[in-house]
Amino acid sequence: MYQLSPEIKTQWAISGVRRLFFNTLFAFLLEYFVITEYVEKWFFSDYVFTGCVFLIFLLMLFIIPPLKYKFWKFDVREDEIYLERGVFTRVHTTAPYSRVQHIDVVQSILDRWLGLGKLVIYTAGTKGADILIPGLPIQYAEDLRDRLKNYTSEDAV
Amino acid sequence: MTENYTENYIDEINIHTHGIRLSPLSMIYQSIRQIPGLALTFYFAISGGSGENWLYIVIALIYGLFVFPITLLNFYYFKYLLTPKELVIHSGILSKKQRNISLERIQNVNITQNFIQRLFGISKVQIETAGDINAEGILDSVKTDRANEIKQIIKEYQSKFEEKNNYNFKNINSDINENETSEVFSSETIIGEEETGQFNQLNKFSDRPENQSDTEQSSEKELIQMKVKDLVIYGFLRFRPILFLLFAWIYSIGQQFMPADIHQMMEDFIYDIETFSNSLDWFLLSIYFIGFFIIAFTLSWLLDVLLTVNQWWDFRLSIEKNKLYTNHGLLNKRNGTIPLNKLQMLVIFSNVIRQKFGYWGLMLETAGLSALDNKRPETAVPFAKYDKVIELSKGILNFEFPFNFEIVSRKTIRRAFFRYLILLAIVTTTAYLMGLAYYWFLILIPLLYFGAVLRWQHRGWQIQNDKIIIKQGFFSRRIKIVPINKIQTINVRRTFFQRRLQLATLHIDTAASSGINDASIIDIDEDEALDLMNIISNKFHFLN
Repeated sequence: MYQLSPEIKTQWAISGVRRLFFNTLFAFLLEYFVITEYVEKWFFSDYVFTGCVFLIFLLMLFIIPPLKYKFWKFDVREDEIYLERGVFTRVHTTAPYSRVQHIDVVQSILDRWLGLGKLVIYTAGTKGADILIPGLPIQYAEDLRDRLKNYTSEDAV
Repeated sequence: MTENYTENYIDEINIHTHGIRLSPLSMIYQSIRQIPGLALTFYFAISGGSGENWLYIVIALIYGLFVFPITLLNFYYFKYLLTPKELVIHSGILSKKQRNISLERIQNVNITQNFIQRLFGISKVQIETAGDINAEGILDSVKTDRANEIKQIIKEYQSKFEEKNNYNFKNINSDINENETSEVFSSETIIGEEETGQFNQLNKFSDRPENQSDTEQSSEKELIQMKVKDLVIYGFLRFRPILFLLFAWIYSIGQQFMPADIHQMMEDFIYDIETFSNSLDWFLLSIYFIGFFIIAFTLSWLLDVLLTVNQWWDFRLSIEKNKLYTNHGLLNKRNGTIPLNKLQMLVIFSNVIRQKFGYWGLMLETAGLSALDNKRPETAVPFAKYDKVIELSKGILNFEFPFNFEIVSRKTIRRAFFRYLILLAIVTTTAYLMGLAYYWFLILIPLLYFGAVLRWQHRGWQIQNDKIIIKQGFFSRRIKIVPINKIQTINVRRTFFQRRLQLATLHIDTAASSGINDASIIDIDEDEALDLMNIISNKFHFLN
């Protein structure tokens, strides 16, 4: 079993900051325009709700990335790829190589700064059909893609 | 028409000189289709506000001036041509578009006919190809005879093509299985994929004497035909939510005849529930309510019967080679094609009432032929006795019968019960806040537990040699059969609450294009789920 590159934690933390900002903003707008307008007797004093949302997401910012990293594992086996992931809901997936239709390596701006790449494996399945492995060193991701490409088949239905 | 398919036809044919237009009746049909929109525009023009009346009239006039000429021009510029190799469709008034659909890529030819088209004797031909959405062809509409002719020609071409290429390059398209030899084509039986099932068995169903069938000729065999009596029974046992829709509809009509002081009553209701409820004649109200309910129920029941008869009228299921064909409908005729080599999942379905009478149906999930999303699973058998459904299913996928289901973990009762309790808590709290007699809801608790037990009892799974069979549902019952070699990915999923109970859900993903039926074994022991994942994946590698 392999682990992801530890830099991915930084990336998750950055997306956590983004989530923190937008959720707090949303909570504030909700409280300012909706709750205080329509609920006459609000249980809390002003902006406690917004503060709570802020604190929860701030806490998650520190707790989630290490946990996520801890539980994210994958294995490149002889005839299938195997993944394990998830903090709250834990998911194990196997995808046989003969079902792979197409493989991509995707790099966002953050990925490029950190020298990472995301491997995307497309299958013909319907639910959870696309298998994503984030946070691989870009060189490794490209090698893996080239290796797996040999197995892909046109007609995987 | 026929001179276009002569053998010595040259490859380069000019569509402008040889192309064929659609049936002239289709022009009338297309114009009729515009009428509702036109009528609506004129309705607005006439009943529109006083000030802006002229605007609506101008819009209506422009619309009226353009709609019919455009329909006419569309007809004039639409030409199609069936050459020995491809179907060419040329269309467009200002911007021209030409589509060349190679005959060997065509997966499906669907012929549909709605009520107006039936009156004119024309049909819509829809041509589906594998994958590429830009290669879809629609001929709306041609004469019904011609539609059938086109379908037949494409079919013949394809069987010739398959035969010719069977030796040279076996994998040219997925229709041809590697294991097949040329013998199969000349034999009188139906061709099936070796590993997924013996479609040959389906022959047993054929009521008709066998046709002298070689590959060139049509060798369709009828498997199932529904009689009117069956349809009526089916309608009676359906119990669809049509009931509630009709209920709402009658209510909205009834509202118009309500007394004028209804608003006053509503206000009373909101401000002072107690005084209001004392002022009502509860006895009379409940009589009204019950009577109303009975009427709505009966009406919707009868309506459902009528709708069912209309939908499934003269249902026929037939097989030719490795494709199933369905054909049904009274006012709107529908033809469906089910390519069995694309079969992903077989679903035997029923509901609690139908099952008591021993009636089940059969749905087939196939991998998407076209790139069109939301393709519904094809119903191979809407309604038949259990034995017949099983026999037919066994002909398609050779599974072991009777089933020998393993039960899921008993802890699923706890999970379901807990979930129901949360729902109940929400309802009760709402009732409490509204000042209603919330404690009456607590009677439901034992009932909910019973429901959770029923849910557990009707879940089961079985792994056979090369199939996974999953049973689910109390009200709507489904038995899903998935061939292991069609699996795409396997997932084991454990939510936070499942992990506390050491449970897991095993989800089997296939390329079934409708998302309606998903194959999951919910709430089995987590170690067992992980073991199963390995077992299934080993079987998969062994089979492929």
